[in-house]
Amino acid sequence: MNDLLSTVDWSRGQFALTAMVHWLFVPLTIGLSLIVAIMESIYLKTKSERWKRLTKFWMLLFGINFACGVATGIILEFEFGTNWSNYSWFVGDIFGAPLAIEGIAAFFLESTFIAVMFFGWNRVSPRFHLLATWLTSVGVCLSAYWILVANAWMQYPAGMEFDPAQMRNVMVSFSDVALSPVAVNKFFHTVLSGWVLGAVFVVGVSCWFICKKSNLGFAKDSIKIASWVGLAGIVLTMWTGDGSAVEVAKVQPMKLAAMEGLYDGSTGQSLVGFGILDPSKQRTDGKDPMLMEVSIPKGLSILATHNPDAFIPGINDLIEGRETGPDGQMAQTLSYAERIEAGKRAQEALRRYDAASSAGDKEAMEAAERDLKADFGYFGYGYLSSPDEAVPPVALTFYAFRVMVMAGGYLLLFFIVMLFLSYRKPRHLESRWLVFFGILTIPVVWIASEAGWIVAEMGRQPWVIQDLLPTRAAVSAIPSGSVQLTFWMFVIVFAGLMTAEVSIMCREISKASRRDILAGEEA
Amino acid sequence: MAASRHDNHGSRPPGGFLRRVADLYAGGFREMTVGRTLWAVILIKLAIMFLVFKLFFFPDWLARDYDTDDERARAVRTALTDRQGDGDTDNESTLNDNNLNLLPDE
Repeated sequence: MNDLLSTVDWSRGQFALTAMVHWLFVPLTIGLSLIVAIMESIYLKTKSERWKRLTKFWMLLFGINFACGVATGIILEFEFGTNWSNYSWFVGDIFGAPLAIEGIAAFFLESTFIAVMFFGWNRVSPRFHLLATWLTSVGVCLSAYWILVANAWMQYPAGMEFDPAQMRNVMVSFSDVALSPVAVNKFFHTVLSGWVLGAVFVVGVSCWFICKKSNLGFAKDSIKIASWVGLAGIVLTMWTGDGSAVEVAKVQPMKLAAMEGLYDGSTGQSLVGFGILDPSKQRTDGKDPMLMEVSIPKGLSILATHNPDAFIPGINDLIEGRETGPDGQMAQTLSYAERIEAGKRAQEALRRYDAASSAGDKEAMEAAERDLKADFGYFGYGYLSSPDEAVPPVALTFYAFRVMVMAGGYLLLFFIVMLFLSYRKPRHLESRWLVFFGILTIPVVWIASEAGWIVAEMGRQPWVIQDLLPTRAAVSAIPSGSVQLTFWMFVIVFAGLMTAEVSIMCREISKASRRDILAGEEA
Repeated sequence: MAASRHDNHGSRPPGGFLRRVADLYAGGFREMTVGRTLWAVILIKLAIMFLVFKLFFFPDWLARDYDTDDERARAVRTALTDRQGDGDTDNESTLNDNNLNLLPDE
């Protein structure tokens, strides 16, 4: 018994490790590909050798990141089959289809045009080369889209029916899966945050050049382009973040409550701008969950529903069956205790289906299938022993959300300042404090990006598929020792990869700092 | 990544489309500088992933242990219906504070 629980934890830890390491590379690929495409567009328009040199330098760093990051996501697919075999089977083609499209279409599109990007400077026309660079950027985004469609389906299962004979969810509407509001919003929020990360990277590396008093013109031009991309990215990321909050309020209200540390909701609910949770807080003790807080009146109601007087349920409200109604007022729905009962009925129906199937009793199979369908929406609740088990880790979700939001606010200010100085007071870009902040902002944006995923993934616990399958039911019955072994192997491999990426990048940046990128011999 | 020695944009080698594509790749690989190191990283990584991890540590249990989809479906059905909560709340996960009892009765 303890071994399976340990298997769940190690499998989760391994998946988190793999996904988070994969996510170190992906947003930089997304952001840098766009910045490189913009720089090359300027080169083609101006025919200036200067912009070609700029493009080629950042393209080199894009290539290093792409090479180190490519295929790190494949490990996640290995883990599905081994550690999460029940889940893999249960999701069926819903998960398989987007991943297959990603693998076949986007990856090959990306790979083909990346070859033209790097090999084609003197072999294809400038226009075709630029097209290849833009298509690489589009291909990177398309890859991200299909992965995010799969992830969004886990948060908001739509467009499928459960077939007990196959024991799988079967896709009945591709458009409902591919264009679900959660998927579309997640795509834009994620890709735009990649723009921000790429922009911060370019600004940070440029600041390092300034710090070394090397290639000042190159660095300032790079800062200008990257800051525009970053500013557009952060404003749009905030906008889509608002869209994400609205979707979460609709389809994962428990996640929203955890993000806010909100136990008892109200109409005109305030938003915690900054706060410290009381670690001794228990769900039903009636204590204030915050040791201290700075709140924005009606902020959460506005954020989640765009209605300042809307009712926003807290954790206790949701457990007792109170949600936000269509008119923004409190509406009564099934309590979690009732959902647990419904889930147990659904599972019992599945058991009866299995027995009837073994006995070849078609009538009993049909009756069991009808009963299963009636309660299938709550299937996963049948695994819970009490409603408390449906509450995600509040502290981690709450603080990760605040880290992401506060970093977002800082980044908005960062890009405004960079742009202001670039155009109005370019000499100030050489000041030590600014260079210092530019370099230090590199880890900040990565922390913010990873924090966003922590909110998304920890905030939806205990579900691996919202309401249908809890994480623990999804795991394979394998010994935890084997998962631990591969966990540590991954740690070693990923550490090696990160070391390779950082050392190759640092070496190339350092080499570039010893020559004139814009006028000297090319690397 | 592939630093070119002659950046005469747009000049095309003679031959058909396939020849030009082959020339693009062959020339690109030949002239690589940093790219050589990066390809080494990629190949080592892929070798570790597919020849070590996938081959020895990450079998697809359902594909390996069952011959047909019906058998796989039944195995998952059994696994999922056996892992039902029974009210035991003594088992705590170390990664979050959810408390499920999902274990087979073995």
